[in-house]
Amino acid sequence: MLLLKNARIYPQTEAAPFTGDVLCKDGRIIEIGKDLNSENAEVLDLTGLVLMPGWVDCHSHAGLGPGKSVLGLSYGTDTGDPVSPQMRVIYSADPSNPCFSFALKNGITTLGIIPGSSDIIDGLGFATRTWGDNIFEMCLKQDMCMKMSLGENPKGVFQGQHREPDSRMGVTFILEEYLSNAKDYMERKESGDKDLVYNEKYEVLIPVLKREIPARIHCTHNDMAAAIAILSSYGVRFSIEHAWGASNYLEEIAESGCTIVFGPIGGRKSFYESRFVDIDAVGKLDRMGVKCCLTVDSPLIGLDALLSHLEQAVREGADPIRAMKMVTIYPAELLGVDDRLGSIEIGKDANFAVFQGIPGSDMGAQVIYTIGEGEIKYRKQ
Amino acid sequence: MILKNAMIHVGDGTVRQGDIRIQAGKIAEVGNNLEGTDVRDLTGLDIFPGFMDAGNFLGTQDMAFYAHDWNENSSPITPYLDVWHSLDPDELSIQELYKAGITSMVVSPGNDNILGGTCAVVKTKGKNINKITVRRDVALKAAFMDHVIDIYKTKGGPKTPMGMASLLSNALADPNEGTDFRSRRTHLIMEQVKRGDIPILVACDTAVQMLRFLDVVKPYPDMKVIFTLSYQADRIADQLKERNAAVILGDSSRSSLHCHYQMNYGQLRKMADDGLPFGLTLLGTDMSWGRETVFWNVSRLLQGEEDKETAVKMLTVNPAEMFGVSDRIGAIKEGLDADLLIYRGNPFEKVNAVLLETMIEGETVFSFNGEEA
Repeated sequence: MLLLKNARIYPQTEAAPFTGDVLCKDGRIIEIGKDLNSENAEVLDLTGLVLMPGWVDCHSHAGLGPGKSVLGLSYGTDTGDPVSPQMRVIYSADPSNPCFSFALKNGITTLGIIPGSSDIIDGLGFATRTWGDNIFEMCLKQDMCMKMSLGENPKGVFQGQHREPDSRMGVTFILEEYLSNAKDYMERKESGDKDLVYNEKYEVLIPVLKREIPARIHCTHNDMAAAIAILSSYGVRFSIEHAWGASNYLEEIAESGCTIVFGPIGGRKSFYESRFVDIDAVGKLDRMGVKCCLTVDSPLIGLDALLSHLEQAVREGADPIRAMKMVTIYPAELLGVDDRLGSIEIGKDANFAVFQGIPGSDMGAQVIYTIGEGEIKYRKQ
Repeated sequence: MILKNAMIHVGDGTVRQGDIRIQAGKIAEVGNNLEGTDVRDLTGLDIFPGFMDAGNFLGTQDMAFYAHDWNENSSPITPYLDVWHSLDPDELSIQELYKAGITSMVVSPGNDNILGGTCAVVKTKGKNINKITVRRDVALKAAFMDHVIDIYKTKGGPKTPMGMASLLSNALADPNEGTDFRSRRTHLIMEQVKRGDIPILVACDTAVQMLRFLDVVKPYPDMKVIFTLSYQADRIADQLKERNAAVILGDSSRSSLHCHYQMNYGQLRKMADDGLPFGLTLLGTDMSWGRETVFWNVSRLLQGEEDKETAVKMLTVNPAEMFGVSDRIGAIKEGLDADLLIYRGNPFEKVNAVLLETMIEGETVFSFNGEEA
């Protein structure tokens, strides 16, 4: 048992921040209140510190190596076929990669690990804890989304190979073709068509077509308009990943009901997709009722910069308290693990990030403890 | 123009309430109860000197990002080159550094060459290269990192750190006594560097590289060494102090460099608190990054820090002094350029402080008109 005493609690529910105690048992939160006592509990005095749920980065390629490198993600996409939905990225992940311990050092207890963006249909992602040595035990939810990609990345891989796609219009055509074929397959299967030949590539899309898990599509600028139009027409739940240029598509985003996963930022201004990177869109979308998450796209940007992304969203207009949801409950919802993560509520996992200073409000805010399922996983020396 | 009653962060670590008179692009007077026409009341607002990036190569790719002008890859030893000739003011301007408060920067060659060429100090917005230039040949850019080996291992070397050391040592000895233009320019720059008339700005990403460099330059005690990138400078605090070296911290977010180099921001800040000249830059190991990232490092350096003005100095007076331009920029003092930032709130304390206006030489180059949270 672990008793967290006298913290300034930012619960990420509808409740306002308050000062109080949290009692944890068997990895879960069992009591929240004032002046809690428990004879058997280890007591952690958090007077003057900020208690948040463990942070979540829902768009990550952490541990996709090779080896223990934190500099790349060579194993993120297979690039053998632009339509590779049956790829499960959990088989590329190595929990001994330093990205995971670095996540803990930065208050991040959950990652959504998804394939890279070199194919058009990239494969299936999973949600995971950031501690442990067996990725299959660390895993919180396998097959939590279908990752898709538009634009320069898949185009760049296949361009010039005398095969599709060779252009943006080629990329979006392949996406539509796949969705259409998979839907036909599902309908034939449901109608009991005996001539139907099993096709794994279409099987794995059925949970997406049934809205059980989201499609998560890498796109920016006008590719975003294509993604919204195509995915909306199939009635699937989806998120726009990266979303640079979202401030030009605010109405379409809000109307579609999609989630935005914004980031990474910090690149130099260049042509193509990085011509206009507008994190001020996050504050605007939040005020319009769109759920936004922030991501650093680890390891492309370090997980320490998730706090920097929160700061930058606030610096460019987002409400500092509401923006905390973009690294906690909203990404937990997108991962489909909000029944146990993302907020401080009784019954939820005892995952916490303890800060000195209010992250997103105070410059120099830093993680003092990271707690995973009731155990201190990181303690600032 | 008179800016009235602002909280003035001078840049040297001090803060005072007062007024600023701007005349002909310069700070004509700093005081209290200044009078005149064209008075703007800034009660409740904070003013900072324009921030200075201490050495990146934004603006050297041309407008189409097609040219590759920040490194001369024909030889690893090119001290005679001047990166000023590669700078495209249009491309620099579209980076909008002034929207993050960065009004001036040291433009430097990239990290490909052991000795890459000389650096210039420029303002960050303008169309005409002459008009944005503060001073040329302010430093010699060097790089002493594995990146150099990556570039040259298939181009005749160096292929090893000892190969780099040998080339550097030889270039410093400057055995070439030719009278041709190239030899004369090389000799001129190398003599200035060895005498300490201008500093040498050395890109090193690890501590061992910094130590190797310091050993190679031991015969030149007057040489002023400024390390940039410096991700592991915290491991060699004593050696840096002994040599009177300065440190500029590069971007660490890209490619998870903070994790890769196991950086220690608390220790780096302590070194700055102890008086080590300390600056900041958008430069990374192989690229220069976006304007916003400079404040990411500021926030990390402020962890657990009470005195916020230490970080102000890192972006103002420190780099101005390191590169010999403190007679023009880097502080809010009489006679210096009126490069000023007007903030609502203190960005070194609160994340949601808003940069209301950026001035370069008395001209407003950016003013905030977006919605506020």
